[in-house]
Amino acid sequence: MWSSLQRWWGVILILVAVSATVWLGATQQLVLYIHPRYVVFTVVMAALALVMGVLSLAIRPANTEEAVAPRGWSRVVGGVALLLSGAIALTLVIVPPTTLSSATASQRDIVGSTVGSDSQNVDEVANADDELIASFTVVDWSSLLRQTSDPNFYSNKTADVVGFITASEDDPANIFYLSRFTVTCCAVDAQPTGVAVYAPDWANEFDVDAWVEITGSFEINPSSRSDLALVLVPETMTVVERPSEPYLY
Amino acid sequence: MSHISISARPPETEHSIHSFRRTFAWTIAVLLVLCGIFLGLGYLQGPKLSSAQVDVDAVVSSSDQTLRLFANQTLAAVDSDAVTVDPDVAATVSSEGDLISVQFAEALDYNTEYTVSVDDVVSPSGGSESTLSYSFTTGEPTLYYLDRGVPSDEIVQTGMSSQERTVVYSGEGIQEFVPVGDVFAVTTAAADRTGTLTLVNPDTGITEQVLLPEVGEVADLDAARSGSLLGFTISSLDPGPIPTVSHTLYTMDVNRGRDVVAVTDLDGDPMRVVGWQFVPGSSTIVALTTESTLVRVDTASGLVVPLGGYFEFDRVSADGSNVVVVDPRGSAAVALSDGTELRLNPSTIDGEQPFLGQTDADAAGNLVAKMVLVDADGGSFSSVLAFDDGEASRILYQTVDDKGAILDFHVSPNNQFVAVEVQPNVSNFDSDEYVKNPRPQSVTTYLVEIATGAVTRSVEGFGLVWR
Amino acid sequence: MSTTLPASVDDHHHQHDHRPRRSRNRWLWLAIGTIGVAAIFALRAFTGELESVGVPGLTADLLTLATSVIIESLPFVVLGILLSIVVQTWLPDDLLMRYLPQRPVLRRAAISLFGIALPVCECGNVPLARGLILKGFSVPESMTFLLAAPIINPITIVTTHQAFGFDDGILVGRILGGLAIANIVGWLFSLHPQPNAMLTGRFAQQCAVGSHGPRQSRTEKSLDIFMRESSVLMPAVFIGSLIAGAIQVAVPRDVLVSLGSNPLWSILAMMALAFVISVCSSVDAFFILPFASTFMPGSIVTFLVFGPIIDIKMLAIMRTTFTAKVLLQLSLVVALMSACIGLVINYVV
Repeated sequence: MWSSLQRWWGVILILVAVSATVWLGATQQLVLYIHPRYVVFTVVMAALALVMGVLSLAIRPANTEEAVAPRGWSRVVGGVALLLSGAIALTLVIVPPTTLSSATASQRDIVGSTVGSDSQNVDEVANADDELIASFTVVDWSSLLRQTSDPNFYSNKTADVVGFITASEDDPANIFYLSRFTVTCCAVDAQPTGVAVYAPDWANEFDVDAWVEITGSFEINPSSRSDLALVLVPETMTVVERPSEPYLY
Repeated sequence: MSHISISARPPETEHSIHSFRRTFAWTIAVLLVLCGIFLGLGYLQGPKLSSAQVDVDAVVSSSDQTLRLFANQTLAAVDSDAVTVDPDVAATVSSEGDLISVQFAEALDYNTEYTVSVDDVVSPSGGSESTLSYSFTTGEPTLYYLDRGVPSDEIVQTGMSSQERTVVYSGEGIQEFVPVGDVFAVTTAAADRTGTLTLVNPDTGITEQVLLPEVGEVADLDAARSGSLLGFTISSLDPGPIPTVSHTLYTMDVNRGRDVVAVTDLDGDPMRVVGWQFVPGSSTIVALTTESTLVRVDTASGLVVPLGGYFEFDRVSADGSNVVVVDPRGSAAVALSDGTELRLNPSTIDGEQPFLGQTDADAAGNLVAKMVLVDADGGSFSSVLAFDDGEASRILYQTVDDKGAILDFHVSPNNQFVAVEVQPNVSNFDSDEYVKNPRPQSVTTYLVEIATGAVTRSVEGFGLVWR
Repeated sequence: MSTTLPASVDDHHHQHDHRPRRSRNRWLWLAIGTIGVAAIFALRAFTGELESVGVPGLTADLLTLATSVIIESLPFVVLGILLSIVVQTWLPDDLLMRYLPQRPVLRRAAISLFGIALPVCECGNVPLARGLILKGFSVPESMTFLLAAPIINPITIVTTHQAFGFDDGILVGRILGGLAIANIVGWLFSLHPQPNAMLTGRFAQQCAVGSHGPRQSRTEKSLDIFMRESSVLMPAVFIGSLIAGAIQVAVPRDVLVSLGSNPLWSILAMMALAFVISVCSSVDAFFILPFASTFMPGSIVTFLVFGPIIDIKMLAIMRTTFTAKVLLQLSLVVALMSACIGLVINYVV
């Protein structure tokens, strides 16, 4: 029993993981976990593994390696590994797919993040048209804010950005970060970036982790408790659905 | 199977277990020593500079430009005092992760090697301190000027230090020109003063005449330094009852079609101006309307902000900080950021009080101005270009024996040089007799370094543009 | 799917007497497998519609991170297994061994490059290395192969490049470092007077007798490899992903930053991490990528060089072949060399 469970465990795990992957692919949710460039490759490989897994169940090839009955500690370790991997496999099919939350965003230091530091260049943006500016994401703005804090530069530019709310540590009552994660490979390397938003008593209307769309402009920070030079002062601020591609690339 | 599998064991395996153990021990020892050496070196070395980013052209044309130094590892917070810039300029410092940002308060000097050193850089875990040092040489501006002559007028491109003279466009009857985007905007005036606006692409040689919304004099050409926005005024030839009434201000984005758009005033009507200019480095317009209101216009949003009431428009300072205007009480510098007004009173030149003419007032309150010195007996006067640091004024340029006249001047965007247009000798009456904007045929432009007053370059022509 | 069932193309060489029963069983198990997969899909589709199952923020993030590592590495694991199947089942045994130089040093250098053509990660390499010894390679030679192959295997190179590009010499450091370690260890153990004494008794015995397993058709052998490889790999990937996620969520960034910027501790931390999480060389670059912002590049290279050769899982697998003493010596030399490579890169870059 033990040895045949060990023998088949890998196939069971791979079938669970692959089924979860295929389902995510079918429901367009793979981008919650990996960069879109891997989606096709992942789905193709998952489909292959699915076929192989079911076939190996059907054929049940003869065991070529004489089973060595594990003893003592190695049996305990093997049992723990089996249980642990089984538990993870279970979460793969039970927990609804979701994005990373603000908990990880603050853990990974929004302010210090240098992600996308060259996504936009101040000189090129100085006289950009409204259409281009309207397309700027949180990453673009934070890249610009890192390059210049000259209020004149932002005076004629209206930001229209979507992100989720992460509380600020300096002035949590009035300032929050409108954040997004940037992904280069998969969610593990997700780096948070965000722009500070000045909205007094925002917590009365909005929850941490809520996705909001904000239009507004960057102005000199009115908060005395935060040492940021410029903050986004919203004109409109509405709760929105989580975007279908929650990460930026 | 293969012949390899039956080949003899290599001879080196025929060592004794003793020699294997000795070699093994030696290998471990050597590796330990190597690890120790490089560990020690790593501790002694401290953080290093792995790359740096700075735009050497932007850094000479606008303030608040940033040098970004990337270290090879995360750094502890860097103290502002730890950063030195040579030659000395004001700079602010911020650091996050492996990045140190040094923001220069003012535009830097042309063609100068700057060295930025950050002392006492240390990793958050301690270890030894190191100094990150980065040197870069700033860029040089491209200069354009108008050289009127026979048979045709030429727009010439040259540099600060090179004597090269490249004609980018030649044509007849050029009134004004300005580079905008990839092209040059050129105006002409017919004998009846009717103006044309032509766009010239120096690379392709294609010229096109812009269809204007009204017939009239085309004047006051200016363009945003970055971007593609062009502005000019059109004045109708039939002056009507009040001659100044029709100086309508128009803009056109040369990269987005050929729509000529009138700038609208607070009341929504086309704005009529006696003088106007783009704020350097932005697409904001500063204009003095025919109703004597100084306004700042954001061309993107159309927002008009009144800055006060004045009579004459002099210029927007080269660094984009102030606009100099004139009213019956004299000259004033109005800060573009908040509209505060500073009355301009020139300091004495060698103890003598000069009179102030056209003025460029920079962010620090220094003036570069045409000044007139009158003899104590009032019998003679001399016209000079002077630099006023608030304490005293110092002559930057004066014509030989005061025989000539200073016509106009243009300060460079980094406040390092001034281009001064001079008629060397006013007694030679040699006007080119253009119906508008006539100049002496002998007009010469000198480049003067403001810090030293040294003339570094001269060209025959006028209307010099710093780019 | 039922039309592609390979039972009909099965070989005719053995077990004729069992065919009818096995064949019927196959249909049964195929049905069980299909129904099982369908059940997983149904469950997933049902739970996927739920708003939330009441998992708090950090735990949800931990699961998201672990899931993302699994999903990111899964296709590469599958690709590795498939290629391993091709190499072990469908290519001639001695294809790579025909043209090898005679001089031991050159011979080992050539063997250390085998990995380029054998895109199998380290877990798949042990069976291959055992096969090489059975086919007449000397023990140090197969050791050279075993150490170099996971690092210069094309999938590893591709994933490392995907994760790091050519930044900071991480990719180059990993490839050159791996080759250097393999060749030096190969040279060191070639000085051993009795190579067979390095092998476990059972394996040495098997070498003496020669390989004789039950005979299988190629299809069966392929699926057998698929089963064995996934049994070794998948628990490691699952548990590794959980550890990688847990470190991300639980260890404060300050700790990581101060660890990562210290010349000694950043190297040791990376080696400890590599040893514990035991993730495959073909996907380990993805695991370590998030640490790249806090750890110095040399330390990352140490992880990428040390991890594929020495970790809990590899020691367990290698123990089937080598004696404990040899594994101890091997671990010591490899650890020191990886640390050295990391320190040199940290100093130079």
